[in-house]
Amino acid sequence: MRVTEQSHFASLVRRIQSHQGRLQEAVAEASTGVRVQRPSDDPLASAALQRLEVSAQRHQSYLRVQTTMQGQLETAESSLTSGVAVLGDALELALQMSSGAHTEESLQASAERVSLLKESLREIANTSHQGRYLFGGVADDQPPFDDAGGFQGSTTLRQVEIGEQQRISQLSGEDLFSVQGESLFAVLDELEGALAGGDQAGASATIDRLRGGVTSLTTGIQTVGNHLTTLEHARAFSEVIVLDAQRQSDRLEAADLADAASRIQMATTALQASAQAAQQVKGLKDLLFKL
Amino acid sequence: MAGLSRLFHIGQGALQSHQTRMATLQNNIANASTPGYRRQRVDMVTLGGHFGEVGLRGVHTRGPDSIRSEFLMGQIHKGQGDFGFHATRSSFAAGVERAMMPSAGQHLGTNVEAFFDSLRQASTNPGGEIEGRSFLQEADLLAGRFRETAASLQRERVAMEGEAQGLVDSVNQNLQEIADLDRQIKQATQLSQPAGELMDQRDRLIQDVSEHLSVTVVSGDQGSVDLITPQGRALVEGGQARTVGIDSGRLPDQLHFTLTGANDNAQPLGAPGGTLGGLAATYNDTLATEVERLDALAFAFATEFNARHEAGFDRDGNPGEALFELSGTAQGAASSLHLRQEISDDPALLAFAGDPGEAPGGSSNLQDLLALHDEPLVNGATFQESWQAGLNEVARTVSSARQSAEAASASLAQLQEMEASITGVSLEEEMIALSESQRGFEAALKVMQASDQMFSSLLSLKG
Repeated sequence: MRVTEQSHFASLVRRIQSHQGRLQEAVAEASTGVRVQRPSDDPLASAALQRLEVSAQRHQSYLRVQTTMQGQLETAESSLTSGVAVLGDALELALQMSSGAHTEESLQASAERVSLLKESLREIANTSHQGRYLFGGVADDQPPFDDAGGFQGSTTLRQVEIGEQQRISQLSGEDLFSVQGESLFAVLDELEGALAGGDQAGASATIDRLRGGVTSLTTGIQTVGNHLTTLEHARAFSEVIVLDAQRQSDRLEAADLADAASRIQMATTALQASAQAAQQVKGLKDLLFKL
Repeated sequence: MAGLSRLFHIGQGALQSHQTRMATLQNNIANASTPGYRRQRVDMVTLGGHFGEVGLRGVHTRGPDSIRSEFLMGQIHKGQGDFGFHATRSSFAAGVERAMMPSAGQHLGTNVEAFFDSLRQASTNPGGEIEGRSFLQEADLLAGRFRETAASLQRERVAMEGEAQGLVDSVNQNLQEIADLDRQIKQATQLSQPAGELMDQRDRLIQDVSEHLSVTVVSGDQGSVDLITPQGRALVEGGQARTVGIDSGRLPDQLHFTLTGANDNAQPLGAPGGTLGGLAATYNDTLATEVERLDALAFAFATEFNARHEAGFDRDGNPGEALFELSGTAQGAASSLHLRQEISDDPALLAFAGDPGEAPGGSSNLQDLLALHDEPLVNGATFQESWQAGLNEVARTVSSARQSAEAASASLAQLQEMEASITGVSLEEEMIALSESQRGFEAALKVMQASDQMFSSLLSLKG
């Protein structure tokens, strides 16, 4: 094949352009640390990256829901624990006042104490978290128990998705604060009335129902505990998914810096060699013209 | 005396021949680096040829003629067309890709995830003001992203139409110049005048045209050429150029080209190949498909979301209203998608409850809305699947076209190198030939000096 000026020139230019292209590519990778800047850089990797991104976003969303729900459940757990203590006090009073001789003043003071305990329990039953009443069902924009302790919330309970195919439900205020279908506030009213009227037998009749109330609230605490455990598992699962997606994304997307540095070195050396070759060709031509 | 006079003429002919050859060689050396220049050659021919009288006959020159390789030029034209097609397809499909995904993490796919995320957060407190406003903000951003993507694709469409018009103008100008040069070459050839440089100029123009649309060059008599499309339609024929145009009747749905002669109506050009072909393929396939996909997605998503929202009940127990407003048909749905102002101003109208008794904190309808994320929307695919399929398809088109353009570029460079090795100027070769011609010139000069001396000696003897 004849070697002409144009083929010399074209060949040199093409080589220099090719080395420059490789150099630019390697420098871009090294400076950004990212191998896949656009989907077209690697369509297969990009498709996988998009799937990972969607999965990570979804589980990050679940993590935020879980954080909110954890706050609600912890508040409910704390309230119900206080409720158990309040009912425990009422039960103790009922036990004390239903046996032995007690003065009328003593019974009257106990009745007043029960009234205060009832008020405490009503406040507990109307616990709110970030402006929403926890035991009101879907009617969570207003206190679920009125001043007399009557339930005015909703028996419809909201379910919240905390993970894929995993939901937890609200606690029913009506079920928690009742025993055998009777409101705990009615039982406390009965105890207060019996004590105020000096009816020790009447006070004694409330003991089993108060025990039932304690059991109801304790069961509620256990339910909350179960929800919190479910939440913990769901959180751990979501965190693993997010971390795994991040790890896989890094593997697919991130540039191999050592490889990029090596390619920069190679392309720079090749560019220098091409420049030297161009210089030598020029020298030979100059010599030819002198001859 | 007759013999001496003949010797004198032989010397003079050789002198002139070498002078012509040296001038041609110098011209080659001067143009060694001129793009598109083809080396010229002068042939020394014995006077009288093989059938002339035996003995000293002298020489004369033929040429100068440009060295050309018709076969390689044809291959280069094809290679340029292939490169133009794939490079343009890669460049404009990358534009569509940018329109769909301006940067990583900024596209419809991420917006729809943020939209469903805010809906999921609202499920923890469906009657909450903050949650409601946050959801409405994401809904507004999603509608905005639909409009923005549609506008970006529209800008790509306008850019492609502008590029197509620019290319068509450039091709038409080149075709006209080729036709003009063709007539000049024919005239020069008829008058036995050198036409090498005119041919070089015409070849450069044909190379330009061949990058923009596929052409076959058919050589005619007296140096003329015809330019024919792969469909057999003549672009330049008999020194007359036809005009390429855009079929405006088919815009904006499809980009097609026409060919019009001086005496005939516009006819479809067919698949033009080259940059025009790459542009048309991107416009008609990639862009049109993605615009249609975006509209279908916007229409199906908004219609289905509205239907589900209307099936729910708001905080006051009233039936839900449409959340989005959009055009009545899928066409243009993405650019017309808006969050309804009435709801945007009042989160209490968000219908998350499944029945009036569930209001205000019920979320059974919200769960139905949330389920839309994983349900088929368009052609059996979910929103994300459909959107990602579009992005991946465009990415594959860009990547494949880029690889094809690189392969076509390498192949073209090889062909150009082969052509340059045949038609290009080798300085070494030209210097040797120049030195040879200088010696020949000196020898011819000596023949003339010798014949002059002999002539003077003979005259002095006679005297």
